[in-house]
Amino acid sequence: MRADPEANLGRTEEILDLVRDVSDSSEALGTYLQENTVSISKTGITKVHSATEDLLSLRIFRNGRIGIAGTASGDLETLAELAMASSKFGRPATFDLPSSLQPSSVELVDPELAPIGPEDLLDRLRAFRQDVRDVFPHGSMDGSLSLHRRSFRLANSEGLDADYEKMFVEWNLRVSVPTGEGTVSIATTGSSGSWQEALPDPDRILPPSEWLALAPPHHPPGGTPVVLSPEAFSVLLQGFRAGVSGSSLVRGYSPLAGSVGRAIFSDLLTVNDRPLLNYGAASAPFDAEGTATRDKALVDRGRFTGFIFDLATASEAGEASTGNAGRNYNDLPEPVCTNLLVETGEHTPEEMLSAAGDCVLVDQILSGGTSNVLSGDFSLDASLSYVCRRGTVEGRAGRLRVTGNVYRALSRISMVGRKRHLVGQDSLPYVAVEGLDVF
Amino acid sequence: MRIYSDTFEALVNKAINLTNDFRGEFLDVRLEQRHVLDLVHAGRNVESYGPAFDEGGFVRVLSGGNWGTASFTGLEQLSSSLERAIARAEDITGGPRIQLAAGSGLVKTVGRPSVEPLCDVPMKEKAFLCRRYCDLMAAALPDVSSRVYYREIERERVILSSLGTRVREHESICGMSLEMTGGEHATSVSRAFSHRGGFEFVRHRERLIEEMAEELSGRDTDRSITPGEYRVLVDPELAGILTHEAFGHLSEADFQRDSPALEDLLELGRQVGPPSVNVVDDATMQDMPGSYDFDDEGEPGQSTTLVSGGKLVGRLHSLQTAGAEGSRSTGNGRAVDFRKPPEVRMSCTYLEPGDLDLESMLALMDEGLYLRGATGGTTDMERFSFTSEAAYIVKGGMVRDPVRPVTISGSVFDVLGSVRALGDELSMFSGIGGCSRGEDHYLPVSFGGPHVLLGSVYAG
Repeated sequence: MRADPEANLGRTEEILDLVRDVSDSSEALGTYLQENTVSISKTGITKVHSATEDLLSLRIFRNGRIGIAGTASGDLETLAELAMASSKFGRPATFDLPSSLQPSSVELVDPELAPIGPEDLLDRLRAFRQDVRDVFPHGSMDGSLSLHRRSFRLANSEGLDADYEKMFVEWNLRVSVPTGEGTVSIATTGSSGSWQEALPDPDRILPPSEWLALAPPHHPPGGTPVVLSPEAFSVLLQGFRAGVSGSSLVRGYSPLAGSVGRAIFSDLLTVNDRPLLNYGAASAPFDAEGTATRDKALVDRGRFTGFIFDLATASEAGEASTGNAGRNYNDLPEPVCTNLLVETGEHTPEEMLSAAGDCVLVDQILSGGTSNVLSGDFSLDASLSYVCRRGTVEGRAGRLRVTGNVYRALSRISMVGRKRHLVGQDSLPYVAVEGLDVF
Repeated sequence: MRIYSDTFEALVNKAINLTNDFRGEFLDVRLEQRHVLDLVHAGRNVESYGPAFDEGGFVRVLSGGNWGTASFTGLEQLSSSLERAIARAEDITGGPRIQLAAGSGLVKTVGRPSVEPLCDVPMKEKAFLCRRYCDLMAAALPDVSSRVYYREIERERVILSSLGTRVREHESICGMSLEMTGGEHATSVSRAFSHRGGFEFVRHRERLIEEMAEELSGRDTDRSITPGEYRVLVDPELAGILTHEAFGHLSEADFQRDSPALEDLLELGRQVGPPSVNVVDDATMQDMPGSYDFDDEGEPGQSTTLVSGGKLVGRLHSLQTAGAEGSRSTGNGRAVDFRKPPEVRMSCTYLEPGDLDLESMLALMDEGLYLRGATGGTTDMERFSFTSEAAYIVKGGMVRDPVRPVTISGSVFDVLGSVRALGDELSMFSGIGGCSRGEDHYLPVSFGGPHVLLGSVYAG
């Protein structure tokens, strides 16, 4: 795949010129997306999709307010018109656009990914499906594997003009295993800029077949230790992602307000935001409004070190941008986490179960559930979990709901796994948590 | 703003020529211009207001029994996208061959005038209405937080195929979600409404805000239920969501084909509920956001009965799934926008009403839970989990004390089988977000039902 030279990437100056006389300052972000996706259904039907998307975002500062608009067309006049219209009621402009940028250094294109074509994606997907069949002859797999190439160019009226290109693969797979008591589904998603990391290790995500027989529950409400798979831990961290955002802070609903510098989590927990991770799916040398990115610990051995900010939330909070601005092409930037890496501990999952004794291993969460961003409270249904007695998995749990509070749960982590696994764009270990309510 | 352009017309003509000249198995081209506005107002602040203007297309080629597809933005990319789609189809070797059902070859242009066209109302006026509703909610009760989400889509879509399909539609959809949170226990109340048509639909909602304030005051509590099995009466909104999420998706034929393990459970003719249970998917319910004249394969929208007398009698089909079963498309091949391929999706799905009024149902229930609305939920097709927005204890056939929102979960078929009674009034709903399936989000759908009494459901 190759970037189209006629794409909107080359039109950032043109749109800035168009609004120069009617705005106090302005910013244009051109994005060119190319994607090849191979998908397989459970019955083996294969599809190959090729997508290109040529986007241009415009943000203008006018009469003390911010106007924004985005387009997936070449119609710059309409883009300018929409941004002007939204500046009549948009957010107050409380900061200045940067005039220069020293991009951070990070590897974004794995040389192994560059020659990958749809047939390579299909081969790898089919190999994974065969791995599933080797373990579960009656099982099936469906899902997709995509290769993304993305080019960005950011320019503003203050003189900033910078660009970069990145590549990554992304997968979204579901393994279904029929049992005598319904179908067990195991979902796994991930993204990485490294071809070596494409698709998870089947040995990790596929349970031993003897675990799939239903086991009688024996978890009294409260007090049951819970071991969370990286996939389940990722769902829990969604609340943390919202709470650590400077946007939640300035809007007054982050439960982490007033906690900077305090040891409020388990001292086994260290969470790093790593935009400079080589070949990370969410890595970038600068953020969506031209602030250089930097790696940082959000939680350091239990101590909450601070919020993430973009320019707007930083100005409201009296802080500096942390280089975490992310944006949809037609919306205002918002502070977002990049690649979250949780520091590993000392234990294998087997050791964690053994040490936890009578416990529950939560492997898969039914997507959705309810989480309260204001408080961190959650109530999640486990679609796959296991009953463990004296450290041994006795079988699959039937209906099981886990409830609690994200921040209390993160303060009660009692063990951390020794290996990290990709889940979405994050890299997470198994963790054991005390004191979640299990019904 | 208006979304027509000369370049779009030129592209349509080019696509007509491409489909006329195509000599392979099958080609269809979907072209779209769309304007989208998402406005979010929270308290006195506008949080989000991203207008977008997009043009693009989706090309689908069936070659050697395999799909090759390409999506694009930028009108000049139509020809190169066709080449890419053909190349992608040729990348596939092995696997089962796809056989499409015969298409209708529909030739039609539709578009209905709105009372107050979206493009005639300035963006600023839309933002001010959101602000006004926020102010009214804040004024209705002390210390409440208020949030208004307005969403509009205006689009021109054209679908052309090598089988002669030539359809075109101009469509407007707008809607709003109002949310207020407050009280001693951070109780939330929300209302969402949307329609196919103009801006007039979201005006004059002041009375609704008064009702929301009354409801918030009346059910602000920290009392929770003890998890367990309950008799549950769900309101028409929650009944509609259950029908859509927990059952409707099971009727999508591509899901069925992809789930051999469910084949027996979903066999046509199987009794899945009592004889009073009838479920319909109807794309012809005018003005509902889920309705349409033709789907994204150019097949006419229609009414399809899925369950009749408690028995499975129908499935929803696209050209591909109908071809696999030797039947005809039900006009349910839908796509969120030009970036996505058509998949089997619902339109306006509802549980037909029965004959009991609410009072009689409460009396029949005697004790249990009365659940209203929904704040979230999900299903993996065999199991579901939904959280009500409001919940009340019912004792002696009377709605008594409010409790915190309740999550119900269980097996889809157990719930269908546990229907004990149906209310006598059908109500339809359409949120502003729409339906999400897999990686496709925000497909406009509508759903509904009557009050439904369920014999036993796990609630917590």
